[in-house]
Amino acid sequence: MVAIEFSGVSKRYGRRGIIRSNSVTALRNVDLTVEEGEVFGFLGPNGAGKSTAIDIMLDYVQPTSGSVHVLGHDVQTDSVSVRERTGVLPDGYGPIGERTGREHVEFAIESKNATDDPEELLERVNMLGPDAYPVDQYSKGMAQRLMLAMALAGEPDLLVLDEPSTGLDPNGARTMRRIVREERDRGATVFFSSHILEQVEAVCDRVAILDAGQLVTVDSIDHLRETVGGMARVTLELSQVPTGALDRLSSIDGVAELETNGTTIEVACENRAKAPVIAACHDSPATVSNVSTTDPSLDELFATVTEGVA
Amino acid sequence: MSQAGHGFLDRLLLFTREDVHDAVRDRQAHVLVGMFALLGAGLAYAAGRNARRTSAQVDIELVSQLLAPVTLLIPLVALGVVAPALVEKRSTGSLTVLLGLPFSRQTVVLGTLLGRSIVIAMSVLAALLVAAPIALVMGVSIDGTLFAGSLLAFFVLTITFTAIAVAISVVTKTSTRASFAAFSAYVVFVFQLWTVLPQILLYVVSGFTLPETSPPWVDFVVALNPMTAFTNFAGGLVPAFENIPFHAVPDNPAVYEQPLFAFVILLGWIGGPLCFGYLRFRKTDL
Repeated sequence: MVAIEFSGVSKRYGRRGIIRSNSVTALRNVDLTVEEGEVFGFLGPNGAGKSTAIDIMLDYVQPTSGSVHVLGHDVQTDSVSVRERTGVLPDGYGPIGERTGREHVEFAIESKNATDDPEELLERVNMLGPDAYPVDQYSKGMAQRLMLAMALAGEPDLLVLDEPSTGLDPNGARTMRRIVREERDRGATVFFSSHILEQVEAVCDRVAILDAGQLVTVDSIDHLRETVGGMARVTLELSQVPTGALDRLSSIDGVAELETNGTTIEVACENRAKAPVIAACHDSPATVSNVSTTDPSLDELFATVTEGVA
Repeated sequence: MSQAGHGFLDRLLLFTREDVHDAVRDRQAHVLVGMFALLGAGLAYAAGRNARRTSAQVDIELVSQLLAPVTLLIPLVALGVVAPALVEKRSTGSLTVLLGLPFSRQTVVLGTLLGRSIVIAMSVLAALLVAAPIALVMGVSIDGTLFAGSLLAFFVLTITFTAIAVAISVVTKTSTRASFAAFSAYVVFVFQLWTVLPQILLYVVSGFTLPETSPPWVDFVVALNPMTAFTNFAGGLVPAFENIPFHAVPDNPAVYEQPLFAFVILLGWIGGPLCFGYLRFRKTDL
């Protein structure tokens, strides 16, 4: 079953002026399908159009063209049915009146005709205690936790989380990831946007990368890493760099770059070439005193993918 | 304005209830009730002083003393308090949260109208309830039918101006603009600037001269002013409204000045702005 389906969605924000009008295209012809039960990460740099896409899904914003179906309903004509079964942690939210945290959660539960225990939801996000205070006094992180508790009300079939880890401390971020996994295990679909790759990598089945309003790629993280490749880095400290070692290393398949300053060699290579590089140095007459390797970083991966389009 | 039936009414009631709670939580309800109660008490006291001075020669009745001031205050409060309501919710982001829950935009518009109308209506009720015992103690008479009739009329006025204010609130994007629009609405409707509009139009269409006699449509347009329609309507319900200083009910009312027709005009002022506001709001980006 399909949980979310974007078909040819474009959004242009216009500003009509008397003398001059200008417009910004936030989304260009986005097609995207998210299956039920998956944890889907929506990645992109700031201003890529992630929030716009989410806002269209929630009917906060009208698409200029195209349509979005969520849980089988057209979001423009039937958005209440969508939101009855969706938990939302939006971007740019604010407290409803001068309610306390608990009152917010109770309101969310009641609006969804659910029977959750507010106590339990607050407990899950670690907000028991501050729940008695008005939300307009909350810090960003506290408000974020509270909004997550509201989103969880009524066991939604779909969770839409816009930059959920914004303002969260490391514990909060861990709680967030734990909850995302728990919700997936319960059978919910989770769709969340982020610009922090580690967050996405930790919990997502698939990711979409959005850049400048265009969908660059939709893939699993592992597969993405494989296709894009990226370079691993091996740094070796040796007693001395033996003659001919550099030639030998550069002949290893997958080695791209070598650098040396006399006692250390830095090798940029594909992942599969790491072990042969280390082995080659080990077999040389010099003594290897230290070896360190780094994986192709997700940041590089991100940069590679998003720059490819610009 | 069709909405899948299931749960729509429940959610509307929930939204309305929470909107009233909001007004209580942020003390807006307290301020309004206090303000109207103070007005009621003050007017009752003044009437009482008057009654004592004139002793028994003239019978002074309480409700007729209250009519004009309350009639002026209701639109002021409705426009002043309600017009910024949704604009504020939008700019603080609470509308984002509300529309993330299963509330339709229709529910937001209608619920705000109902919630705010209830708060203002309760304040009006408070004015009359506070005034009554003071009046009785000070020897001012209270006409029961007048009391009930004017209360009903005030509720209609409350809903009318709350609807106009909700429309302003839903259409404008900043609270500055909302306040300005609300202020303009008050000036146009209550200070009768409205009456000048058809005159200007007549002046223009007659080639920049004013004809000796004005055609009937001018009077008709004048009667469309919600405040005029209100006095025409309320005058039918409670004759004492005919003596309100800012608009006299005509002696030989035309069809469109009859109470029933005036009531229809008021319904139009409730439905029209709401529909307009909703239709704009439905397609607006948050």
